[in-house]
Amino acid sequence: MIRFVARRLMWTIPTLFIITFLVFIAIRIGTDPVQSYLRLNPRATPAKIQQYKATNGLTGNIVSQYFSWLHHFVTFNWGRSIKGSRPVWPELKAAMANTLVLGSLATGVGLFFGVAIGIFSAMRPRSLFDQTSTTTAFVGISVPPYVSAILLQLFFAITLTRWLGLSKPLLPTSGIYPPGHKGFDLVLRIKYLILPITVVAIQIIAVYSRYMRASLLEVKNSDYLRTARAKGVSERRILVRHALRNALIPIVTVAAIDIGGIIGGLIITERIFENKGMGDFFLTAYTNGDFPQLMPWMVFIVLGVILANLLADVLYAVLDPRIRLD
Amino acid sequence: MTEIDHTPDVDTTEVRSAEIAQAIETNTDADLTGLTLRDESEGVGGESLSPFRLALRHYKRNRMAMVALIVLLIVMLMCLFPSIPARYGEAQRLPKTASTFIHAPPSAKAWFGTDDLNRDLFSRVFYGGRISIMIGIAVALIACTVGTIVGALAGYLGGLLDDILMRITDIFLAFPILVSLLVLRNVLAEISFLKVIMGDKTSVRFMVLLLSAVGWMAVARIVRGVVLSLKEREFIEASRSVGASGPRIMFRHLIPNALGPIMVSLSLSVVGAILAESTLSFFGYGPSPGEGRTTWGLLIAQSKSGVLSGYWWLVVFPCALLVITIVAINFVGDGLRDAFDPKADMSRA
Repeated sequence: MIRFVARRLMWTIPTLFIITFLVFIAIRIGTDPVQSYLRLNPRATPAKIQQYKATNGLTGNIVSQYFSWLHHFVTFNWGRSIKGSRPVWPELKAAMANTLVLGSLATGVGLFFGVAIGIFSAMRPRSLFDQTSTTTAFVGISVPPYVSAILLQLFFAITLTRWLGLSKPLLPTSGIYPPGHKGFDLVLRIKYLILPITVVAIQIIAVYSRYMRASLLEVKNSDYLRTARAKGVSERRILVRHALRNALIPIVTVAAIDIGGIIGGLIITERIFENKGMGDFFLTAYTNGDFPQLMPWMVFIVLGVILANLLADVLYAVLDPRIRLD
Repeated sequence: MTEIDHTPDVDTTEVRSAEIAQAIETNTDADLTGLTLRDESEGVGGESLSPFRLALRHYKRNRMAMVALIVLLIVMLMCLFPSIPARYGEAQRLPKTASTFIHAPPSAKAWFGTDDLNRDLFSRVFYGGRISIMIGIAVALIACTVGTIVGALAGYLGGLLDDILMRITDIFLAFPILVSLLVLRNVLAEISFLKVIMGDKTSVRFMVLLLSAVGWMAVARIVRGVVLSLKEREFIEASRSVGASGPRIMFRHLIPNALGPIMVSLSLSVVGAILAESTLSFFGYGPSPGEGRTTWGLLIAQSKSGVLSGYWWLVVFPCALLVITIVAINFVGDGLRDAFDPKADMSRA
């Protein structure tokens, strides 16, 4: 086990090299930092441009530029954003913290309800609950996150307030804290998180209730459940000890691999609810063509995806003793 | 060249007799559909049609999928010929009324209300749908053609091509699709020799090609998987043993037998393309189809500013039409999957 993880971790290093190199080329071509610099500083003198290029490792061919960037990156010399010339790391760190809170809460809520609904559906296939939940889930996967986000915003900011005759909305529809707020306040934080979490969780619930239902139904038809039943094991024990354990294996691994999809949902949600996280960071950097901000962001996403895949492999082995890794 | 009967899975005679029995039992409808199908896909080779007829019959029995298909056809017809449902021109401003001159709520005059230039939203929703749906269909056709050919080649030939394909798609599919699209958008716009083909960054053509450039990968992976399992089957071996050439095996045996999954991915590609276009438009990176013209994504994006002012109709109606279309296509795709997969009935319990 440890050997397997160690070997996989060793493989991540060359993978990381190759992918960051490809991403570097793609972003270097797509958003030329010199052009962005010129756009924001239209009256920069040729000497100034030359100086900017030199300090940011933008001279020479693209391979040497990559290694120059890599050197800056590993030595934690991340430079400053082109727009506003602010240091990259503090903003990225704050964004990452916000996204981790929103992402993990939403994933937790989504997986919990998704798996629960899937189990209840599969326990009584074709029942009223099953049919309602599968149809709802089907509609749920068809609703893009920005549509559900904007509809929820409309509902909570306007419709509900009018119906109930309130002076201010029941739930805040944008931001992390009210304007001008300082310090940490748990109640306010939760209030501001409810709607973004709902939007991200809806997607996860819709997808995973379907997975869970299909997975459990497949396990229910298996021979070993029939054997267990023939031995006189109680239905409850069959479900919990035999069926669920096996049905959950594919779910956990899919969830770990699916991190890209979850990040995609987060980007959209964060933008609409003005939740200053990784998604918002990326979209702002993209709009400004801010190369120094985009690259570290990409590295973290690549790292996240690679680690999630590793986690999926390991979890798969831990949960299913039939799989040998070495 | 000897013609080889290569019906997979199903015993032809058995299916035939069952079908005839069914046709007698119900009506002549089954017979008719069989005839039309045979005409359409004559090139596939006489005897291998039965799985498709089976699939069609399966599909027709799925009530949800049939309803979805009808809804989808209605929406698509209305959007592809928007001048029929539209009551006003696309950019036509309505005369101001006593109470309002812009942002009129839904009324008998403007069923879905009007926007910030007092244009009828009901008409604009269908004009916008035309571009969105046409992008969806165009992307799906390009992505499925490219994806099928690349996937079939990779699956059939294996080796280096297969490895390269798998690695490229691995990278792209692991990233959030929005990020891949945005990064690729800039790259494609910067490469000068592509400008002739791609056109301007904000053109509809650029959007179609951009979405196709990402969309073919999912199709290629599905087709590759199907081809990998098909190429070990006896009927492929048999046709190879009588000297069928590689292209012949691919185009006459492998791809026709993978048509089920290809059709399912076609429907998924349409959904993916419509969603991607509207998401990009929502964030301001979509196509701008020209003065006064719009897409669903643009309509929803422009409604953002109306949310807090309470212009709910600007949000609700475009969103509703978009969601109805996507739900319908998804149901059709699901019905197709069930129809082409004989095991599907069991797993749905």
